[in-house]
Amino acid sequence: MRKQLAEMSISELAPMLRDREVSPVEVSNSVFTRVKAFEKEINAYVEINEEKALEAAKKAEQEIFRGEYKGPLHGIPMALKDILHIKGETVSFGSKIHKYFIADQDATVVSKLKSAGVVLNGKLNMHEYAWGGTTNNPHFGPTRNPWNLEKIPGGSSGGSGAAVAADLTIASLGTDTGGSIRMPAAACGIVGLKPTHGRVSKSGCFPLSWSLDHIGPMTKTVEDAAILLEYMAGYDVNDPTCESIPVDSYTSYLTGDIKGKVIGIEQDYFFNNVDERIELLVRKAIDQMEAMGAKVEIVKIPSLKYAPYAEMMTCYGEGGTIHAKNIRERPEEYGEDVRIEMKLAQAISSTDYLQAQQVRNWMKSEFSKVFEKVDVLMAPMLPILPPNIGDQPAVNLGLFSCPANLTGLPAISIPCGFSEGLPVGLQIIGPAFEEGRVLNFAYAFEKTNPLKGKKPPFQMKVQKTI
Amino acid sequence: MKMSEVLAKKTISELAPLLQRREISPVEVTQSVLDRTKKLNDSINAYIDINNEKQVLQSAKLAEKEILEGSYRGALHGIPLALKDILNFKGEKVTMGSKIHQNFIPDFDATVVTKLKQAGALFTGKLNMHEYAYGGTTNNPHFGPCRNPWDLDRIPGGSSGGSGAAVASDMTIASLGTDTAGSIRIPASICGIVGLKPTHGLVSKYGCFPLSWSLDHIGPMTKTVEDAAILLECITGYDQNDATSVKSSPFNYNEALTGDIKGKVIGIEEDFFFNMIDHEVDSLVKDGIRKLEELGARIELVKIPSLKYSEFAEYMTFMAESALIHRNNLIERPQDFGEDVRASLLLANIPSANDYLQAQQIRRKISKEFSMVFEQIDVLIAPTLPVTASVIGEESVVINGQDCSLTDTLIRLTSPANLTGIPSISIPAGLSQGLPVGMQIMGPAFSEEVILNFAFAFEQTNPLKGLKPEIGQLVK
Amino acid sequence: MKMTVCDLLISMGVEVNEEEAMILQTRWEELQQLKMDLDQIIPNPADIALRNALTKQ
Repeated sequence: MRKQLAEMSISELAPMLRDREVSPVEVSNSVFTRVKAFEKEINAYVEINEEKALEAAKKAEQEIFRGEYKGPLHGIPMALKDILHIKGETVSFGSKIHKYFIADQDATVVSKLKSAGVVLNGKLNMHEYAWGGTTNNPHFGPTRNPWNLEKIPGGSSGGSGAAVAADLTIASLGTDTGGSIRMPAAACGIVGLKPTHGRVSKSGCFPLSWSLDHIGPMTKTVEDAAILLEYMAGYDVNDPTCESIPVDSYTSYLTGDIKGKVIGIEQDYFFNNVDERIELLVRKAIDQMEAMGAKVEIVKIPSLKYAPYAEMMTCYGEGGTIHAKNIRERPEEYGEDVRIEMKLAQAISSTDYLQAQQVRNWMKSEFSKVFEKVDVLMAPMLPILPPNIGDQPAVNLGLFSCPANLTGLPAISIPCGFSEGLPVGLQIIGPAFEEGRVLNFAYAFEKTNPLKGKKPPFQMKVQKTI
Repeated sequence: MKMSEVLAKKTISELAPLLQRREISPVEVTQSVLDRTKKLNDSINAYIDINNEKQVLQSAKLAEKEILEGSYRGALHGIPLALKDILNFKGEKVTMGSKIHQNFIPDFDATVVTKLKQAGALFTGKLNMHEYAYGGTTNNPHFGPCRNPWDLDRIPGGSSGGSGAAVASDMTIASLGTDTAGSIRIPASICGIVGLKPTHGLVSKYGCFPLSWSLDHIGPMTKTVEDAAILLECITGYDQNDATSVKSSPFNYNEALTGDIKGKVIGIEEDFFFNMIDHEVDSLVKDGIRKLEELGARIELVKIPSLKYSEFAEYMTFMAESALIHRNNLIERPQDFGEDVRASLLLANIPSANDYLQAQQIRRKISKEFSMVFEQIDVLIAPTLPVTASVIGEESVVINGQDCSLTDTLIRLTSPANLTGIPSISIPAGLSQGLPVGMQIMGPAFSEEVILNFAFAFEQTNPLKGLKPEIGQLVK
Repeated sequence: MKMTVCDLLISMGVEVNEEEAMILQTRWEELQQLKMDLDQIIPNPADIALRNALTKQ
């Protein structure tokens, strides 16, 4: 049974678009058909832009027809987390305060995607101001996990996770400050990459915490993530945290060969406090990679003990500063959970904040030393399976995500199996600016087909296939 | 003036060729400095610790031997220096001017000390400073106040007060100080010597006790601009041990000292840098700028509006950073801090993370504005301080009839260069009521050769008219 | 003189109602727990990630 266009990945669609076997309009239509059928149950979108998208798709179609094919993203419909400025359009950051905010410039990454010919088909739900991991948004409603509608899709890029998983868009961009790309990727069974800090410009992205924020791709496959990263990465004078390191051809790293490579495992932090079912699947995945020729080495990273504290202090310090004015002047307009967090954030002292920076420096140097001995580090992504919407998570969901934010190191979440019908994510962390290496390990593992081709239970009853 | 004191009064650049040509020995220079130190230190108290004479002379003898054997290392070979007591010397006591560290013995040399040792410099002792560098008077409760050689009832400035006083009174040939809110330039201005705060990251701070990481700098304090250039060349360089160190290529700053500033543009910012300045200080600095105009430079007025917030940014930053550095000791042994430092540290715990981060935002803004201004001008010139030396023990100072807080007054004009990291040199501009007045020359990041050259050009006009503090007659 | 986190917030101009006060106090205490023995641990006072970033020529 052939896949619908909307169910395909960027790398499956690209050659068909390039060779004019399929039109961008058909791809977008396929996406919107699914959106109309299933979006109500999932609530991934805050805004569906069908008219605009079809206009852009038509334009792309004409360009490709004229022989002006721009590359693998040309004509691909994407929906982005509603945190990135899009010129002339409302961007709400999941909030009430900014519900009617209209951006006057494209975010740098948006501008890059548009230049590459992407068709923006809508804006995706998120946790209010990105400040949380459940995407249970009081202003726009909760987004639901496509694998089990009672469960959270993770957050804060929950809309992106759900939409990509349920084929309600081809790919998305999320942001990650304490795991917000990788946690929904794990919960929804897709690929989520947080690049190195400074790899991708954040200009035009509403900040949560400057030194922890990252923008990254959320996709159906590893190859799609690599393609998107190639287009997104690069120096931008408008983002002072951006580094001017040359952009790699990330897709060229995807050989699937990891023979002789060393996988590091840190057990005292990453495998402590994790649900056994998740641990089992993650260890099984690592065993499979050993079978492919990689070696495993146990490492120690003592500073990790203080990661949650450092993450909170930094996030509160920086995020608190960003919201200092609004939390004093219009606190009631924040959702309850975010309001509490914002108020608490105001109480952080400068010494608390600075001490957290000391921890980060210590952690960075420990990770550096570890990466002299191992090629990548592997760990679980989430400590527990996605809880029910409305339940208070029993454990800090971002426990295993935050070290990569604190150190700025690149980290990816890829599916490694199911437990209780819910996807489980494997995390791979690499040295700074070695996204290619991280993507290749993920690619090698992806080939073992850990989800066995399963998809969430949203099948079109009437099929329109080619 | 005794014969043996002639050498102590010389500069590095005067002594170096004599040493190189073996016309004098390092032993003679060192003996001269030690003699003068022994004679004057009781009155001035610039030294916390004078090194054992025998040992110092022994190292001088070694240097003499090397030079005689033909292994002359360069301009610093055989030159006796004394550094602010905040830089690590392996196996020696380094107190930071404090009681808590009074017996602290580090097990490694600070990077700058290693470089000076490699250059063949000798060390006569450790210089007095404000406790933990946390103040601008060098009125040290544990080691006694350091006094201004121009008027012993007055402060030498701080926190590198010992360095300022020792260089001004020829108790050392040259020194290194540290500067977080002006602590090299304030004593330089007050004591009538040259003090250079380089660009942030140019000189490694490894082995230097921190006051506030993102504001701290190490730099030379010398009798002449040329000496500052010589010392700067020796101490600069990337150091992986210092997270704030930047890569730079070695530079012969001396070669840049041509004195030619024809066609260069001097920027003057009046709203901040010439606000609330003692009338005589203002006159002297403006006269100085006029002299530079006569040498061929032209003036341009500029605006830097964000400077309005620079004091807030400076205070929030160094309060927060210093509070963390001293936190444990403040909790465990508060009584061991001097009263003023303890009070400052208690206050320092109050800023919230918001305050600190807002300060960082302001810093970015100020830096941007300076960058834009430097597209139009080569250097920015201003007074180093609004005043001259105040009396030891006074907490406030009068400027044109108005009472002002001493600390605020001392750091007000020097802080912007710390906040932005741009280089700034203070040089004497003249005397007011017999007390030195300093002028500061700032430039864009990594433009040390430009500001040194301007300073050199101005120095040639002999602003102090060859005057030195008259302490020769002092009897113990 | 011990201040609760709520007193501190109020002194900074942040409103706190009764309901929030309890939650805030609990959250604050949880945060302090995460700190563990950090005050004793960080050894080197010169160890910090802050920098006064300047572009090199």
